[in-house]
Amino acid sequence: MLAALQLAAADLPSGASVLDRYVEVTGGKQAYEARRSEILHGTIEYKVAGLKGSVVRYVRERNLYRATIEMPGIGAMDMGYRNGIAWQDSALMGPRILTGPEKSEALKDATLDPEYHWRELYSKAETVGEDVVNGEECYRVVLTPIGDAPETWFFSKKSGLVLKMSAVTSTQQGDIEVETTYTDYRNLGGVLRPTHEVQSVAGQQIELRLDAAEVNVDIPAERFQLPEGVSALLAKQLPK
Amino acid sequence: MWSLVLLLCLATGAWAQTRTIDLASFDLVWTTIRDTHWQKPPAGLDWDAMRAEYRPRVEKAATQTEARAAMQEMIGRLRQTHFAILPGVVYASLAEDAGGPGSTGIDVRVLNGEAVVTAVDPGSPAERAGVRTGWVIRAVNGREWKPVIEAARSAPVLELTRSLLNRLSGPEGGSVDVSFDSAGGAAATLRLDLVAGRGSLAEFGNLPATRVWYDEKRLGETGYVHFNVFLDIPRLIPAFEKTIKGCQSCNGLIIDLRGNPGGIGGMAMGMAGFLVDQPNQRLGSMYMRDATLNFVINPRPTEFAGPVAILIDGTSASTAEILAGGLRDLGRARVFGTRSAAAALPSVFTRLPNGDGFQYAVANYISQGGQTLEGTGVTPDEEVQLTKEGLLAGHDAVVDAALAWIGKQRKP
Repeated sequence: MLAALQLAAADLPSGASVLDRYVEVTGGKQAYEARRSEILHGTIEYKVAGLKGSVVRYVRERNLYRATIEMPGIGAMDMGYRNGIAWQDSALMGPRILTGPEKSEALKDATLDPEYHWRELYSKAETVGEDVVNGEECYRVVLTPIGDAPETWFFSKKSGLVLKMSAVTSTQQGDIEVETTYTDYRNLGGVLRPTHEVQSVAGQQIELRLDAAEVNVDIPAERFQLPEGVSALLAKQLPK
Repeated sequence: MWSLVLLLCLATGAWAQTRTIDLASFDLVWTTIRDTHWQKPPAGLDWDAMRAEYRPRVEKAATQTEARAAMQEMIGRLRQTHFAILPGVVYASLAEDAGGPGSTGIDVRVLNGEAVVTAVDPGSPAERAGVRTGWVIRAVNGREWKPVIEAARSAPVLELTRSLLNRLSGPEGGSVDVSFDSAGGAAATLRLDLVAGRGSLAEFGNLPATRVWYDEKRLGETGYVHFNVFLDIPRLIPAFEKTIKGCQSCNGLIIDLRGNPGGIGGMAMGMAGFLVDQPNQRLGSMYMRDATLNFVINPRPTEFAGPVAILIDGTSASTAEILAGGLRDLGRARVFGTRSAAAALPSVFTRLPNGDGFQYAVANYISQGGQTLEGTGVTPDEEVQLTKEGLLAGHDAVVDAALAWIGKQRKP
C-alpha cells in the first residue's frame, strides 16, 4: 500500500513544474517580464445581501500597491503597501498597520504577478495529489508562503490554469477558511488571467469580476502615499 | 365566451406562477437556514421534518399572504430573533414614496402601563402642536391604547414599542388624531400631520431604505451623542469622529443607544475604536457554523480617554447591544437605563423570488465577558427607569444618572 502511494507521488509533476507551466500557458516569461505596472478595474458583489461596489487596484514594480473597494452605504475601504508598510483604512474600521501573516499576505498583493514571482514569495511548492474541480482533473499543489500558512492550489491538468485555491487566511477577526474559484480566463494586460473569482467564506459568497486592465501606465508615486490616518497612527505608535 | 376562457387561463396562470414563486421562496428560506444556521441542525429542530410539514402548506396556499404566514410560522419555530420575512410591499411602498413613512415626531415608551411621550423631534408636527415629553397617549385615531398595552403586557419591550410607534405613523402627507393626557391630566386631542421622518434616507444592500439621524450636544462639560441606527457608515462614523475630536476636553461622554435597533455590526467595532487606546481588544465574538469572527477594535489616531456612559433600554437591540455589552465588559463604559432587547444575532437580508425580504441569522454572538446577548441582553450597571413625572418636569432620569456618575469621575 505504502509502495503504491509512493509510486503515485512519484508520478506527479513537481510543484515547480506545475507553476512554471501556469506561467507558460498564461503568457510566458517574456510577457510577464514586459509588465512594469498595472491598474485593474472591476466589481465586487456580495449578492445575497444585495451589496455591490467597485474595485480598483494599482500595482507598480516593486511592491508599491494600493487598492480601493467602494460600496454604497459603506464607503471606501483602502489597503496598500509601501516602503515595507502594509496598511488598511476605512471609515468603518479606521486605519491599521498590518503585521505578521497579514503583512505577508499584503506583500503578495503588492507583487505584480505573484504567480510569476512565486519563488520569491513561497518557500515551498509541492504537488500532493490529484483532484477534480468542476469536472476538470487537477493537480493539487500546496504552496507555503514565507511567513504565512500553506495554500492549496488546484491546477487543471488539461489547460494548466488555476481553477481553485483554498487557504486559511489570517485576519484581524481571526483565521478564516477561504475557498476561491477562478473562471473566465481572458487576456488582460498581456497575460491570461481569471476575470471571475468567487470567494466562499463561512457559507457566504463574494464575487469579484475584473473588467479592464491598464498596463505599464505611469502611476504617480502620490497614488501610493500613506493616507493621513495611517500616517497619524504610525506617528502615534512611535516611541515618545 | 372565449374571452372568459382566456381570462380563466390567465388567472390560473397567474396563480400557478405565484405558487411556483412562493415554493421557490420557501425552498430558498428552508435551504438557507439549513446551510447557514450556526447550529446543526438549526436550533436543534428536525429540519427535514419542518420542510415536510410546511412546504405542502405553502403549496396549498391560496394567496401570497397565506404562503408567507406558513414560512413565518416555520422560522418562528426557531425561537430566535433576526429571522423574519418582510412583505415585498414594504419595499414597494418605500420605492413609491422616497420620503419614507410619515412620522409625527413622537417617541414613546410604556412606563407603568401607560404610553408616555419620551421625546419630541425638533421641528416636527408634534413639537409645533405643543406636544411635550411626559404626556400620556390615550388613543390614536379614536382607538384606545390601554387594551393594546394590557394585551401586550408580556410582549418584549421592543415589539410593543414598535407596534405603538407604527400606530403613530402612516403615509406621508396624511395625519393622525392623537388623544393625550397632558400636564396636570388635562385631556386633548391633536391632529398631527405625518411628514418625512427625521434624518436622511440611507440604503444598505437589501435593507429597505432607512432614515438615519445623528445628534450631538453638550450637557455642561459632558458630550452627548444620540443616533437612531447603525447605518450610513460614510456619514455616521465621520460624525462620531468629529464629536470625539471636539470633545477632547469633555469631562465625559454619553452615548445614548435608546431606541437604536442596531444595524451594521461592524460599526460597533468602528465606533469603539474612538474610545480605546490599546490594540487587540475585543467587543466579543461571532460564532458561525464554520468560523469564528472576533470583533476586534482598532484604536483610532484620536480617541476619547474620559469616562463613557452608555444609555440603553428595551428598544436597544443588536449592534447597540454589541457595543454597550462589549465596552462594559472591557471596563471602558458604564451602562445606564433598563435591560436591552436581547436580540443580538448577526444576520443577512436577502430578497426572495416572490419579492419579499428575508432576514436570517448566521451566527451567535457572545460578548467579551462571556455572555450570550441573544435572549439575555445587556443588564445595565445602574438600572434607571424613566418616569412620567420626571419627563413632565423636563428631566431624563437616565441622562441625569449618567451625568451624576461622570461628575464623580476624575478628569482624564
